[in-house]
Amino acid sequence: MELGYYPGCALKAHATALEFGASTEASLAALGVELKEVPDWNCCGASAGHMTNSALTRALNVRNLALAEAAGMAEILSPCPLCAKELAIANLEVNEDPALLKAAEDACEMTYKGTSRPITLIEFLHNNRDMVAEHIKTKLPAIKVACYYGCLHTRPSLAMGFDNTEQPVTMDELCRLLGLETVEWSHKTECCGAGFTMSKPTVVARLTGRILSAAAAAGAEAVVVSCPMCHANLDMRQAEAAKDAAVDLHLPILYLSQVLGLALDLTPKTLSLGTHFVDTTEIVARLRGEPLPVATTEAAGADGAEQE
Amino acid sequence: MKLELSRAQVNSEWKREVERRLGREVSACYQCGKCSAGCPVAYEMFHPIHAMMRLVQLGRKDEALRSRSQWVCVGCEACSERCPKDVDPARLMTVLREMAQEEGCVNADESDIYDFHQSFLSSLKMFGRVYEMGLVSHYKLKSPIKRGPQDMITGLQMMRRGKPGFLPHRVQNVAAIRRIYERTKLQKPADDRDSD
Repeated sequence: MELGYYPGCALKAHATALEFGASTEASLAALGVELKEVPDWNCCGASAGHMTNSALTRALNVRNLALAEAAGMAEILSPCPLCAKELAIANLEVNEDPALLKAAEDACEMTYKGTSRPITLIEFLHNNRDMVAEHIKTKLPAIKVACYYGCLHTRPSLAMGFDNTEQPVTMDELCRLLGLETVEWSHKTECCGAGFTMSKPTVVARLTGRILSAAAAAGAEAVVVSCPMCHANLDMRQAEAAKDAAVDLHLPILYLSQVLGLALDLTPKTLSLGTHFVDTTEIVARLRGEPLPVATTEAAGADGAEQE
Repeated sequence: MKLELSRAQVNSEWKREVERRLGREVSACYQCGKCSAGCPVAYEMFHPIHAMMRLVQLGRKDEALRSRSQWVCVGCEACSERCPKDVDPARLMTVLREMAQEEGCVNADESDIYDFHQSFLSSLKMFGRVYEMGLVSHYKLKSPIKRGPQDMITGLQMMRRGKPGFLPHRVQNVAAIRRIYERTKLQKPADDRDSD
């Protein structure tokens, strides 16, 4: 199976989400999906473009859509939901309003018929869950995880058109398919602060503190995400979050593509499980059904005792 | 808070321009406050989002454009998703951000947020893709004393993990990206009929 692929900057160009890029590519290859990168794709503009100039963002994304269309790609896998949302909004706007299409086409010097569509990793895997089920090599143990979707997998619903905006379930269903247990919790679609990670870190600490405390209170032992901004904020900013919420937190933040890869028997190294800020050694050992590494067994024991 | 209103303001050309860009009539909003109730950053705002909508309904151009709220808005779209009248408050924030830039009244208290957006976009313009090392340096150099020390340790920890990449990735046709920028520049309105 061939699939158009728009990796976006976080996965490819600046590599802040190198785990997401590496694990998505490796897991999909193991599922027999051949990814074809959109030729010469450009940045979607992400929040900065959306926040300051919608005409610019629209034209940047119409260029990507037109490049994909010219390469015959009907569906473009866009694992990052920020990119997927920008592509989807541009698609919706230019399909509804010929004047906006004309302006965007003129700006990017391309023509676009409106036949390409972005698809997030969750949506792609959920649409193809039978294929995923067939390829599972080792069912994961029933470890409790909180599936965190963030804002943009389901919003704006008019553009994304996928799952329930307030209580999405698709990533939960995928995780359960892999063998994990998923917790019911309150903050599935609450915002993490997204692009404010450098420019307004106090807001990010406040929002991620609330999200992570809610996940811990629901009994989750890890959080599963499918967004580079969610990952950066929950993983890299976890210490600040814990301080702001005045709680002890040690929640590994795993990408959906990483837990999928483990069920497909890919190695932690292939899935880039060693580059997280919150240590993943223990959770990865447990997910793979291996004995706990000696150094972390004691720490885990101490943590467990405290929680009880 | 006491507001003095004039008929000219409430029926102003500016308000009609906002509605034109929003694609909605702001009078449809009946101030239920659901948008602000679910806004994750309402606690940071002097005028939460329903109050911003009210300012526009009343034609309070100056207060609306100079507000911090549209810059603190994180763009999560929860308000627009939940609005019972489909007035699209998230889009109103976008409209106000663009108008504030055109009129040269971006709130200076949120210059960190605004500068970061600008640094991001200049990186995109230069390479066609975002070069995070360049973006962060650009952002820090705009206010080196305040921003220089921020996240130094996190930055080193990132580098140890191979993040972010050292070299920029470049779109082959960078010239096309630069032309997109030229053609989509925000314009200061030629005929500004409103005076507050």
